[in-house]
Amino acid sequence: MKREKISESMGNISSRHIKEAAEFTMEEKPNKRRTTWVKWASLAACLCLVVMVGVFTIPNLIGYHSGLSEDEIFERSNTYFDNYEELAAIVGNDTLLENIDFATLNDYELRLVHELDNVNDYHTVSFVNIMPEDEFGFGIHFPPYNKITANFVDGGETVTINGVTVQYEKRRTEGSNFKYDIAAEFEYNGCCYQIRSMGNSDESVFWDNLNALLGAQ
Amino acid sequence: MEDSKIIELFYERSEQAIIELSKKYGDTCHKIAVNILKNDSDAEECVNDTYLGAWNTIPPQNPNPLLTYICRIVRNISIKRYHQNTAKKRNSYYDVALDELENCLPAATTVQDEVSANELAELFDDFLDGLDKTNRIMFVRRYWFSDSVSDIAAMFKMNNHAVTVRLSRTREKLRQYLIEKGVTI
Repeated sequence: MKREKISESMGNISSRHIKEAAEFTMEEKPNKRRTTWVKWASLAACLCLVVMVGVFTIPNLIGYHSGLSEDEIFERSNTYFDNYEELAAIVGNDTLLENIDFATLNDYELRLVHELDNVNDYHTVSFVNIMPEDEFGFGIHFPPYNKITANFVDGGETVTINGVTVQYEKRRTEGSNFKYDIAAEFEYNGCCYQIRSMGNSDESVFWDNLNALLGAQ
Repeated sequence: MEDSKIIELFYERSEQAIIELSKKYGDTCHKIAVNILKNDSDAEECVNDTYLGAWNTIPPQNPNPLLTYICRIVRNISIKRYHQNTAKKRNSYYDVALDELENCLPAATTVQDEVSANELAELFDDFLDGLDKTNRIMFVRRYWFSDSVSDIAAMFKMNNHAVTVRLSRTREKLRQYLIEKGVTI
């Protein structure tokens, strides 16, 4: 009875919602820039997770993961947060996330990567500030992180902001949808921060966000 | 062809109306039917029945938008066919999607506590109005159109994981919303 009622009720939702969803496939073009970023961030998170599992916990987890689909593993090892306070209750408030004014952001994703079903056994925080033309995102890798972060920024230049030495490099944008694409890396309070920013405005978006993150604005 | 022109053809009782309707919305109808029935030939029959349904009801109906009118017909016919076909095994996207929703909604302890289907539909509408556009479309694609997670992921150029997580968060929001409204089913 419950199933029939749910089916009937969903069937009776307003035409405006059906029309919007039906026409989306026919007319609207998805946002390619965001897509690329999401793919990149997901890939990085999955890579971190896979390597962490491999390096630290494979003996215990082989049996535990068996039988789970990729979707299930992802869902049970990634937790999204609607606000910073809920995340800070788990990871503490001594990360640079403290410098972000979340109330002023239009759209962002805040995610914790952790062991299966255990948010308290976490490795990485992933944050992406999604702006109309640009994206600024970073991962905070908690210690021990040295084995999972090699060569994110390989070469490039360094700059010191607020006493923190940041290594950064501009990546090639030929053939991509972006005017700029910058990766950066630095250590702060024992954690490794890996940053990626890309978009169609200009590089000042990267520098403004980086300065704000490091408390220099 | 504009919807209004197609409806004019229906009013003129021109069989060209069916051809134009099929050209414009045939694929959408077929996708809905296949999602529910998971069977091409059954889906094709339901789509043809949908055209017949439109032929028999326009006029006197003058639906606006035509798209949602047709979608509703094909969904209803397909669900009816699905129930006729299967006392057997549940295996369509429709069932999987329905399972997800059923599991997240609060259950009533007595019949008197239950909300009616129409009341629940209005609550769904209010809830959907409060979602951002992406989550709203994903939810409707999944639970009205019975699209698979992979289909939705392809539509939004996202990976399956991201869609699964978003849907899961939206279901939890719906559950909380209905609990706040004191609704049980």
